[in-house]
Amino acid sequence: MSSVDRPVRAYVESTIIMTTARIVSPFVFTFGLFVMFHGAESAGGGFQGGAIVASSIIVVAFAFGIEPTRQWLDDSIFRLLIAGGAAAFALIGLGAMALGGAFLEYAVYNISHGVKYGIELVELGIGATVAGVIVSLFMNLAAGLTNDADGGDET
Amino acid sequence: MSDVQLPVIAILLTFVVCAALAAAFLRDILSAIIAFAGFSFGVSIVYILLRAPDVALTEAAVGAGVTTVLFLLTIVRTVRPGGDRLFERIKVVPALLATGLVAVLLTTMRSLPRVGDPNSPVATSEITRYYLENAYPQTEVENVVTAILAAYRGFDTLGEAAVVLAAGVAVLVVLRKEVYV
Amino acid sequence: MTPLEYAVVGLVLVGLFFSFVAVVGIIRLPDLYTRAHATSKSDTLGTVLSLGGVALLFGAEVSGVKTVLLLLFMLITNPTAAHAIARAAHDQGIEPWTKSDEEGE
Repeated sequence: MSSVDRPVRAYVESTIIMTTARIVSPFVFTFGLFVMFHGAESAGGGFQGGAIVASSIIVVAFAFGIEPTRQWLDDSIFRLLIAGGAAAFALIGLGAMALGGAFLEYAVYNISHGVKYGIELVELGIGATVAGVIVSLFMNLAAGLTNDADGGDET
Repeated sequence: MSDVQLPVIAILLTFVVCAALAAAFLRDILSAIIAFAGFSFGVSIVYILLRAPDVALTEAAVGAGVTTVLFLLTIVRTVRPGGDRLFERIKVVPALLATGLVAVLLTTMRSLPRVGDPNSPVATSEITRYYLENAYPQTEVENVVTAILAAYRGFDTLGEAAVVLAAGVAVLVVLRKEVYV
Repeated sequence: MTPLEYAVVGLVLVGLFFSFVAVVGIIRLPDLYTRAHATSKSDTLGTVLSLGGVALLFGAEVSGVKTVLLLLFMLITNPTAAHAIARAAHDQGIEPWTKSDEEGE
């Protein structure tokens, strides 16, 4: 985060905000994963957990500046998350068909507690897709802002 | 629903309706977005009181949290409307149409079962009983909502995930075109 | 009432008082900075005290631990949010209110 290549309206870091984000965001991230996995036992699931995980990354982006966060977490990571999550869900379902069961019939995998693990994997896949979409939306919407500040309003 | 909860829900519903009206009629978009976040938050608490924690969590995380941030990022590029008026001018014909629609929908209220009614069709139906009895033995998952979402109705949920995927990819393609090319 | 119930009611009442002070502060104080000062201190204290009462009521259960975690989260994030808002306002060049503003009008 050098001060040389900073765009015009760059955010100036604040020690207080950065420290808080550093303390809070790992816990929020963990809580999001907890909601995803624990959807099997209590309230929660992939959609909610994905949104919470994404918000932990948004907190980091607000505290440390959006451009440094973009350099730290490349766009391709989120593209992988989006596609990988949905693909994992579909593959788990199709895998059951390949083993001779119905679509998403977890029992044919023949693992102990297979149904439960199958459901948790599916929730994780949904969560990855949702988190990836939300963070990518955030990053892309914010990217336009810094570009506007650089390039002026000609377009 | 217990007697204590009734006034709480009444206050919350009043707040939710006021917040929704404010979000619709406020002229300043920033204020409207904040009112909308308040609306989502109130609705999520109503869901909790109605014993639907899964829906409440979704509403709080997505409606009050993430959408607000995305809206705020979007309106940074717009201009704030001039003038001192606090509210939008209300057009007569759309207002009448909306009121009429609400009135028509309200007529169906009488045929809805009371909240928590043990004799309502949902509580007594064969399907509800089947899920409640078989969800844990068949899936080893304690949350029946999750069991139905990810196992019994897994194909529907795959459709939902596909909708999120398709909508996200479509919006991202448009956004990236604006930003990077 | 047991002593525990007295403690819970006392905590919630004190918390309510501080929340009330915060609301009065938001309505009556003149500008953004003084309002942020009212919300960050009084509102945090009000929320934390009320949640402390709730945690006492739950006792040493899973719900109680969750409430304490929520309390700590509020204690850390609420003042930081107020700080961030005040800081952003200062970056935007909003001048703090002074006594002369009132006399000038």
